Amino acid sequence: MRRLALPGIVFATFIFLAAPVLIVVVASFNSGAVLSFPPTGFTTRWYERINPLFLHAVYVSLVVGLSTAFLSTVFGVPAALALARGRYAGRDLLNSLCLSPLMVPALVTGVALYQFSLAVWDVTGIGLGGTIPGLVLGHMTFGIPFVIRAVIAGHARFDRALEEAARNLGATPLETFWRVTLPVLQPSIVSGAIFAFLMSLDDVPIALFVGGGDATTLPVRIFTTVEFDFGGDIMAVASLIVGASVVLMLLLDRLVGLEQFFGSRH
Amino acid sequence: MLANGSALAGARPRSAAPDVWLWVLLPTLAVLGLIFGLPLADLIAVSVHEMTGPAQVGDALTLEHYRAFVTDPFFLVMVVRTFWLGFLVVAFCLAIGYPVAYYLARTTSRWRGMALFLVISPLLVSAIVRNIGWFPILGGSGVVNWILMSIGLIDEPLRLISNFTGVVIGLVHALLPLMILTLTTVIQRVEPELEEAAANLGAGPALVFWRVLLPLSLPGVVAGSLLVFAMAISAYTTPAILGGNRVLVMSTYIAQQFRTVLDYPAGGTAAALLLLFAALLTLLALRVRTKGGEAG
Amino acid sequence: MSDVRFEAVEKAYGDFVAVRGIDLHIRPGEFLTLLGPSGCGKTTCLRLVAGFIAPTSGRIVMGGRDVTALPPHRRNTGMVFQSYALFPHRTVAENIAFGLEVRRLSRAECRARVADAVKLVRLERLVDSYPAQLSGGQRQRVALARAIVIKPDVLLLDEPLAALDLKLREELQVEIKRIQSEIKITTLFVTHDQGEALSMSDRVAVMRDGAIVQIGAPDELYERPNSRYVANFVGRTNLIPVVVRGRTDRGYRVASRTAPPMDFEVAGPQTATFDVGEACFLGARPEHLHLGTGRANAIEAEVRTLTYLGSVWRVEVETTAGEMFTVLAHPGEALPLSGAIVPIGWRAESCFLLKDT
Repeated sequence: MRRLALPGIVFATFIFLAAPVLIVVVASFNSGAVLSFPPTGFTTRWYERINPLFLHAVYVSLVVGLSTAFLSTVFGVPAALALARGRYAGRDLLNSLCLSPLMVPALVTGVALYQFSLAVWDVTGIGLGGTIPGLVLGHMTFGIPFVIRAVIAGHARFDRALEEAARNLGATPLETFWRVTLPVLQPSIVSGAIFAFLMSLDDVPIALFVGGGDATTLPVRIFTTVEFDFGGDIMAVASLIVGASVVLMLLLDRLVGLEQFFGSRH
Repeated sequence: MLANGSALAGARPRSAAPDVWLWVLLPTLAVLGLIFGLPLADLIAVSVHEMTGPAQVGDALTLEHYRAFVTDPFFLVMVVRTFWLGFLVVAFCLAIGYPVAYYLARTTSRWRGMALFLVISPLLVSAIVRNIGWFPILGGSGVVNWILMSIGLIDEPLRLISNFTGVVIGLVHALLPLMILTLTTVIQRVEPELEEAAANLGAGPALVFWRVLLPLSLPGVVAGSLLVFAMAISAYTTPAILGGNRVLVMSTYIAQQFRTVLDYPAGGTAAALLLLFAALLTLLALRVRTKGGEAG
Repeated sequence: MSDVRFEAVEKAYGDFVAVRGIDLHIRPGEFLTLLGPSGCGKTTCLRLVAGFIAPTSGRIVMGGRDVTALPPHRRNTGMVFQSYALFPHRTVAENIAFGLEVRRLSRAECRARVADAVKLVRLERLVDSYPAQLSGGQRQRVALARAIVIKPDVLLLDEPLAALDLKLREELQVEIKRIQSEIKITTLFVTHDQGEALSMSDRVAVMRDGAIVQIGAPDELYERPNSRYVANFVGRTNLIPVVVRGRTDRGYRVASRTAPPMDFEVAGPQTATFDVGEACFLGARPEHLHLGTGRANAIEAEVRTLTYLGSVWRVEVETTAGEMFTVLAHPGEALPLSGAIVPIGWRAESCFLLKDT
C-alpha cells in the first residue's frame, strides 16, 4: 500500500496539472455546447469560425513579444555585465533596483503605466496607450530584469581565467569580449531573452491596461472576449495555442533543457 | 569594455580608476526609471490626491483613501478575503506539492525526466488558456459534475466556477509547478543518508518526516510558501476569469477602479498597498532562503 | 627561445606585499620551477610574466626586451591555467586554433599547426570534441597544446597538474617534460608539490612570503638546503641542534646541544660557513640514516612505530634527547621491534649544517 501511495499522489497531480490543457483540445472539437461534457460529436466548425480579430491579435502578440525580447536583451545584457563585474559603491542597491520590477504585481505595473500614459499625454500630447510601442515599453519592465537575472546567474559560473587565456593567446580586449565572453554567456542570454518573450506572450494585466484597440494582444483578446461571451471559437483558439506551446516546449527542451530553463528562475 | 577587467588592471591601481561599468549601466537604469520608476511614483502620487470625478484627479492632497482602507469594513473584509485566498492556495500547494517534490527529489526511476517535464510543461502553456480550460471541467455541465452525477453522489450540479472555489482551484493549478520545483531543490539538498540514519535508529516514516525531513527543508518550505502567497494575492487574470466578476479581492478591485469605476485615487491606494504586501513577502522569502542557504 | 629576467620586481596590494624585490634569471630553454606553499607569491610571479598584473616596481625583461608595460596579448607567452580555462563553446581543434586565429594566420597554416600540436600531445582522435566531453587529463593536454601552438617565447604553467589524480599526475609530468625538451622552450612552472618540482625542473626556486629563499638544481636543493624551511619543505629532514666544535679538512666537527654532548662529523661543501662555537642545526634525510653502527656518526634511539610503505619501512624513533627521528629501512635490513633501543648511524657526507634562523 505505502509503496503505491506516493506514485498515486504524483500521478493524480499530473492529471490535475494536465487536465485543463487537454480538455481545451477535446472541447474545441465538440459539436455540442463547448462547455458540456461528454462531447456529443466531432466537428471542426469552431476552427472555421475563428474571429479574424484573433489573427490580428496573434500578429500583435508576436511583434510585441519579439520586440520585447530584443530590446530587453539590448538593455539587459550590458546592465547585467555592469552589475556582475563593476566595482563601485552602491552596486548591490543598483542590482536590487534593476530587479525590483519582478517583485511588483504585474497588475500594479499595468495600472501605473496606464495612469502614467494619461499623464504623459496630458503634458506632452504623446499617446503611448493603445499602441504597440507602448506595449513593448510596458513589457520591457519585466523583460529587462529577466534578462539581467539570467545573465548574472550565468556570469556567476563564468570562469574569468577564460578571458585571461584568450588575452594570453594574443586576443585584444575587444576580441576577447566578442570571441570568448559573449559566446560563453550566450546560453544565459538566450534563455533570458526566451523567457522575456514567453512572459510577454503570456501577460494580461499590463497589456490590458496599456494596449487596446489595434494594439490588443492575443491573451487580452481572449480575456475580454471571455468576459462577456464564451463561444466555441475561443476553445479553438486556445487549442491552437496549446498546439503551438507543445511545439515550443519540445524545441526548448531540445535547445536549453526545460529543467535548467525553469530551475534557475524562482 | 574589458579594459577595466584585465588589460589595464595592473597598469593603474583599480580603486583609483573611475569605474566604466557605471556608465554601461546608466542607459538601462534610465530606461527602467522612465518605464517603471516614474509610473510607479506617479501612481503612488495619485493615491494621495482627491478624486474630483470619474477619471479626474484633483490637486488637493489627502490620505483619505488610506484611512478608508484601515477603517471601512468593506476594505477590511476585502483584504482579509485576499489573504485567505493566498493562505488556501499555499496550503493546497504545500499539501500536494510536498509529496510530489519528495518523489521527484528521491526517485531514481527512468520516468523522473518525464515526470519533471509533466510538472514544468503547464508553465509553458499560456496562463489564460489554462484558465479557460477549467470551464469545461468545473462548469455546471462540465466533467466533474458529470462524473459526480453519473455515480450518483449528487443530484444537482455543484457550483465550482465563477466563485471563490474556482479562483482557488485555478491559482493552485497555476502556482503548483513553482512550489514543486522549489521544494524539489530543497529536498534534494537533504541527504538521503539522514533519512536512512533516522530509520536505522528506529524512526518510522512519519517520525522521519517530522523530525528530520521537515526541519531540514523548512527554510525552503517557508520561502516557497511566501513566494506562492505573494503571487496568489498579486494575481489578476485568474481571479478575474475564474471568479466570473463575482470575487472581489484586492487585484480585481484595483482593476475595477481603473476600468469601470474610474476612481483612480482609490484604485491607486489599493495598488500601492498590494505592491507593499507583495514586495514585503517577496523580500522576506528571499531573506529566508539566503539564511537557509547559509545554514545548509 | 628567449630568457626571462625579473629585475627587482615587487608587487604590493595595498599593505600586502605579494612579491618583494625578486631578481631572477630564467635561462633560454630552461625549465625553472617556483616552489612554495599557497600564498607565497609564486602564482603572482607567473601572472607578472603573463602580464595580467603589473609590478609595483621593477622590470620584467623577455629576450632582452622590457615587457613590463606590454598588455598580455602582446607578450607572446603561452600559459596553462590551473583550471585549464578551455573555451567551452569551442572544440578541441578550435581551442588550439584560437591563438593562431587572433594572430591572423591563414587557414591552411592554422590547420597545419593545429595538426602538429594535436599530434605532439597525442589527441588526434579528439579534435572535434568539446571540452565538456574530455577527461581531466585530456583537458590538460588540450590546454598545453593551445599554449605551445602559438610558439610562445616562454611557457607558463600554473599548477597544471593539481586537479588530477596521482597516477595521471605522474604520467603527465613525464609527458610535459618530454614535450618541453622536444621543443626546447623556456618554461616557468609553478607548484606546491615538491615531488613535481624535483622531478621535472632544471632549477627550482623555493619561495616564502614573496621572496626566493633558495635557488638551485633539484639535487643541490635536496642535498644541501640552506635553511630549515627549505630542508622541511623539500623532503623530510631530521634535525639535531648542535654547536660547532672545530673544522676538519673535509668539513666540521660538531656536538649536540645536549647533556652529555654527542659528537658528529659533517663532510662536504656547505651552503654557508660556520664559526667555531656557533650554534646551528645538523640535518640528515631519513633515507640516509641506517639502523646499525659502523658509520662516522651514531646515536641511540628507541623504536616507536613501524610503518610499511611498500618499497621501504618507515621507522619512527625517539632519541635519548627526546627528539622524533624518521629512518627509512630498506628491504633486507633487519627490522627492530617496537620499543627496542637501536643504534642509528649515518655517513659524514650525507648530512649537512643549517644556520640557526
